[in-house]
Amino acid sequence: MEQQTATAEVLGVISRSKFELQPILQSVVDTAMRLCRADQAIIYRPQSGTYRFAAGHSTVPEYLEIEKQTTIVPGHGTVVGRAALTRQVARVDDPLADPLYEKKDDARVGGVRSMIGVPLMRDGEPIGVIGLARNRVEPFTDHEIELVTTFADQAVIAIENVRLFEAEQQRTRELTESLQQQSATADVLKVISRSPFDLQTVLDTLVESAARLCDADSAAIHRPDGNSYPYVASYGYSREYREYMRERTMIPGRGTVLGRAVTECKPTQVNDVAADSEYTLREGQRLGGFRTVLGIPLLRESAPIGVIVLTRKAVRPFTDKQIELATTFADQAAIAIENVRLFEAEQQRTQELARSLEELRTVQDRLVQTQKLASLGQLTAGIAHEIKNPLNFVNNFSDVSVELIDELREALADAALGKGQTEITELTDTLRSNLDKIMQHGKRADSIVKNMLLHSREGTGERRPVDINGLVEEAVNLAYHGARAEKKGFNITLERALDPTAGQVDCFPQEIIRVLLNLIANGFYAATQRKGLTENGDYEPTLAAATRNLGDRVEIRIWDNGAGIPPEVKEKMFNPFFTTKPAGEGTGLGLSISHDVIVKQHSGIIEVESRPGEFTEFRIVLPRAAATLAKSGGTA
Amino acid sequence: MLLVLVVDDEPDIEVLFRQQFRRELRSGRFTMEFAQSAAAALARITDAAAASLILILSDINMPGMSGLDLLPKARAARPDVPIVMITAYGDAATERKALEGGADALLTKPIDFALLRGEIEMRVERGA
Repeated sequence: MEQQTATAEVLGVISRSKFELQPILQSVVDTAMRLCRADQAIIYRPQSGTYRFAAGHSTVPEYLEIEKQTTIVPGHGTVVGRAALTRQVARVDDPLADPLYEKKDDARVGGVRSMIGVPLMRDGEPIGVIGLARNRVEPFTDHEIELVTTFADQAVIAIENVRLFEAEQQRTRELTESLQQQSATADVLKVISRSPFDLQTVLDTLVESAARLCDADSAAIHRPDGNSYPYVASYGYSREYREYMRERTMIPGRGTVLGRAVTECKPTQVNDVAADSEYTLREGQRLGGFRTVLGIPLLRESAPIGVIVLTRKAVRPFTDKQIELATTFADQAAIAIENVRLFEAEQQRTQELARSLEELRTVQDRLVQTQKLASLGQLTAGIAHEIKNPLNFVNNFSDVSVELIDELREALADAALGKGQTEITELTDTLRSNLDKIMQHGKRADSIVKNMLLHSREGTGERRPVDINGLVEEAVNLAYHGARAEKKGFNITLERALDPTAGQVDCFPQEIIRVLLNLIANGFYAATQRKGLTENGDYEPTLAAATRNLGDRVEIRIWDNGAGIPPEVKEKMFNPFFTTKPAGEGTGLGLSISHDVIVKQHSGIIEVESRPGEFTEFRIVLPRAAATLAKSGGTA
Repeated sequence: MLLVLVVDDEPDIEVLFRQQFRRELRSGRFTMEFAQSAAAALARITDAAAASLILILSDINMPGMSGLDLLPKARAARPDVPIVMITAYGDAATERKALEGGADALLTKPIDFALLRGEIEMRVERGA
């Protein structure tokens, strides 16, 4: 009855604390000791080939303390060893009389005499031994041994239950973990697919998921930028730490976990950076407050394109599983970065293609324009030639007619014509004056034709890269000496502000020189005109030429302090045949042709700024590859 | 009588020259003859009556045989007679071609009659 009650008690404990082994084992030893009238009962469990104390009860508590320190080797030297070795119940009625028993001294100290050892068997293997001892020689009865065997069986069941339960729990934990990981991975993938080219969002998501799933306190993703690896996304770090890290250069090498991961191209963990003698990021470590650091390189074709760093405030190394998990995050980050890179490269190529298409169109337009200009030039030359011959006759005949009229007047003066004399004189005078007009306008037409030929017949000359300062200098000198040869007493102050870095322009130099000569000659004209109008002797005619390097373009400015250009003239000044000069002094083609040469032939800019009575400034901007852009071989 | 031969396809050249040189022609310092093509000029040059020929003035741009074509032929027929070419194109290439072909001088249109008068007078004095 007592036995049944006791068994029920143990079973009660087993059912109550199904998943906690210790109370069950305790209950087993307590009950066994009581029912078998033993002085002590101890359960030993195997541990690396030996048996050690797991639970026990004794009338001499000191003895339990000794047993807790004892390692029992399977063998005949002890009753527990014997049970473990033989896998059967072992009994020692009196250790002092047992020739194989070794711990006779312990037995003497503990006062133990009659003992039994019952193995806890599962699938033929001992998973423990329950030992009972009395402090007197009173061998355990078969009935008692049977009873202890029952308890042993119950202990086996309990141990097995707990083992199964723990295995189950472990599996559940693993499943939960893997579910978490999968859903996190899915989240990250969702973010990547939702905003594939918003790299920051992807990295932010990755770094946060990695930190949470790997149970890190904080994490960061670093990417290379020049020599350093600054962080581009972070999670869980303090503002101080982030500010500190923004300033610090992170380089490959042994000094940091990041540096090691980059150098070795594999996941690198330091269990406690505070105890790592090579570690140099002391201030960062202090601000970040971390101890265990894991660095995983983001690899593209085996080369690091970044690092994901996970940190823990406590010294608690990441498990292999967590490292593996972090590696999958690193892979995802590498893929996301690579996707963005490919996307951007693709975008750039598309843009480049679009740009070169646009350039091609521009060149085509210009080519058409240049061809038009070329044929226009040929046409002009042809027309000019055709006009020139009859015009020569007009001029020559009017020239000789002037002489003839003079001779006629002389002849008439000698003749006696009476009343008709006055009328005849008047008529010959009018004829003479008409002939003068014919000559004057003939010369004017001749000058226009000459200019047209000058601008068409000579063509554009060769195309080559020229030093822009040399070109401007040459034009200024040519224009100056030309003006002095043409007009006696002409003088002007010349100023030059040539940028020494102006460099070269690929152009048709003859054409540019022609434009500059035209602008400079206009400047001389305007300054001379103002001088003629000014009574104040202080006025000093001045012309300035300047160049400036604008990178892929170059600027030329021609400034004069002449009469200036009134707004109504400014509007029309680039129109062909528009001139403000007196008849015979200008053809009205200079600026029109200059405009075509700069804008159409060289795809440049020509602008004018002027304040009447103060100054005029022409500004030309030429692209460095002016002639290449225009792709011209034609005439302007 | 000293003779100057003018070769030009423009008929009005004769009128112009006769007016310009009216005093010289009136005073009989020299006579002028006009040919409207290089072929006609060549026929006139080889004519025995042209013994008094002292100068040939020739346009370059003419239909058929050009002034430059005429040049060597005229030189062959009358190596003693200088030839002055007149052209509307005052470019270096034409000038070089004319001088290489044996031209004495090259004048450009519009004709500077003062200059031409000098050229003729120089030869008239030499031929007299």
